[in-house]
Amino acid sequence: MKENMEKSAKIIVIFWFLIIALFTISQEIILQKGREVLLKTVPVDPRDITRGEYVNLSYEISRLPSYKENFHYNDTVYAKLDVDSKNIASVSKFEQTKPQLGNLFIKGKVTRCNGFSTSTKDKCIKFGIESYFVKEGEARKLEYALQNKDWGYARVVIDKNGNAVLIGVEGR
Amino acid sequence: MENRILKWQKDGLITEDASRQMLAEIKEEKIKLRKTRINITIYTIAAILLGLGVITFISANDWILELLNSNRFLKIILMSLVTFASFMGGVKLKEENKKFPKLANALIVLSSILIGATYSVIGQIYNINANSSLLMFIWLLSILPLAYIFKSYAINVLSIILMILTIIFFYGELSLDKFLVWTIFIPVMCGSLLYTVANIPVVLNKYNDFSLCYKIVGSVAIYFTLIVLTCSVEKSYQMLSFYYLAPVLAVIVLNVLNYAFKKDGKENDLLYKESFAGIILLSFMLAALLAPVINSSFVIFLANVAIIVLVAFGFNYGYKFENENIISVANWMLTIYVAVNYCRWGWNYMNKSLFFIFGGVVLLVLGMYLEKKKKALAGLGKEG
Repeated sequence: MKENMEKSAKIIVIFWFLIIALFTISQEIILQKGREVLLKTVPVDPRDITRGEYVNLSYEISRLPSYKENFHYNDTVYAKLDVDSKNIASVSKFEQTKPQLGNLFIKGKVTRCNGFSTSTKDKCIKFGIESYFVKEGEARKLEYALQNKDWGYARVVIDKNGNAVLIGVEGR
Repeated sequence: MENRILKWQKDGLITEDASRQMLAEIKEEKIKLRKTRINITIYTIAAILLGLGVITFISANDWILELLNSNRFLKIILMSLVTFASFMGGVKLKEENKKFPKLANALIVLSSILIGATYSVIGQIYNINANSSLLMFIWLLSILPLAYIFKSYAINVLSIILMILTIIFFYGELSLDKFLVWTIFIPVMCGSLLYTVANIPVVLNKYNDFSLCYKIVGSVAIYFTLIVLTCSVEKSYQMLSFYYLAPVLAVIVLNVLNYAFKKDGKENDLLYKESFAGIILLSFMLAALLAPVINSSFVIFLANVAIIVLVAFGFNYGYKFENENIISVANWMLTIYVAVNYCRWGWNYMNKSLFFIFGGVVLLVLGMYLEKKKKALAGLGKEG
């Protein structure tokens, strides 16, 4: 009985360790192998129940053009990016199939811009980089600063499969 | 019990010495029990406070952490070590040094909170989107074995909360087609899933207390959805999406498997009935999701039948296994159902004074009847 419990406890610790390692390594691979670009961003707001204050970001490339009617909610979408001389990325094309390797693109999911909107034309894209966690008390300040400057830039690293990690936010 | 011992002594069934000794032992036992309860309460509160402290410390993302932020792995390693130490410390105290069993349990509870905090730290460092269902899900997966292996009630409650949050966050991340996803679909799915997980034969046979906890929460979720359905039904659901149809089908299959792999036994007769009821309920849910138009009167009728079946199940289960908690839940369900329907129909069709007087009398009689039945059961338990 005692041995069984010890064995179970060891298996649990190994299981936890594997989850932590997988979680961390998957993000590290993107950071190490990906390309860093700047994305124009507009802040929205507040607080995660376990992780504290964050700024909710919306990107200029988040809004799907209204003529893209063949995109449905929860579809995966690939935004092909052009990068200018200042390293600022903008969308050249939205695609439903994965672009060929060598192109810079970011992967997202089609969602409603407003969670409870019933309009079928209200479509946005979430890239998984919409939350920027900050020190307690600084979310409002950052929001205010970004809003006063109309927009800011998010420093993002994107890997060859379009997965992105947000590493920072800065003003214009 | 003390009164009964005095009565036995008076009737000459036991001697005065024996009576005195029995009373002294009962007194001693009571003091011991009270001390144990105080210990459990202190340790549990301590574990929760420590867990909350760590979470808020991490949430604050404060200056001390800036030191750790100089290398992002430091924060993760530190959190992991604290979590593993708390867990292994709890296990060692429980198994090897049996002097502090309550402290051991509290440390294990603490580790179940800390592992969630560790995942949150990783999410925070890499700015993974807030309120993520993935984070809740892996936290849930990480603590489920703990709940079952160490038979911890606190971790079991945490697992129920996480299971519900995972479902809510998952559908929150999707673009919802209709508002009734929140009022009908999610509560039914949460309830059915909890109920079905509780009926997995291994869980049911080895961890009956956990099963009961899951079932009570699951029943309450389904019950309130049915109450909503008795009052208002949309003409069409038509949520023809993989995300809505697949989970319903999966839970139906799980119910079928539960039944197929059941072992013979008194309690498993109930599993047969519950699995059958679950499959029927979910099949109607599936039909409602697929059908282009819904007959509102039919759905309202079914919802009423389902509530009556659920309440009957509750009373049947409660009295069969002599469990006062289940009887109380069934009492509440019946009272709310009667009150909702009485207010809904009575207010429109009855004279107002008659409405209050009749309602009061009915509830009074019903309350007295249920109280009497419950007391009879409690008396039976004491005698046993």
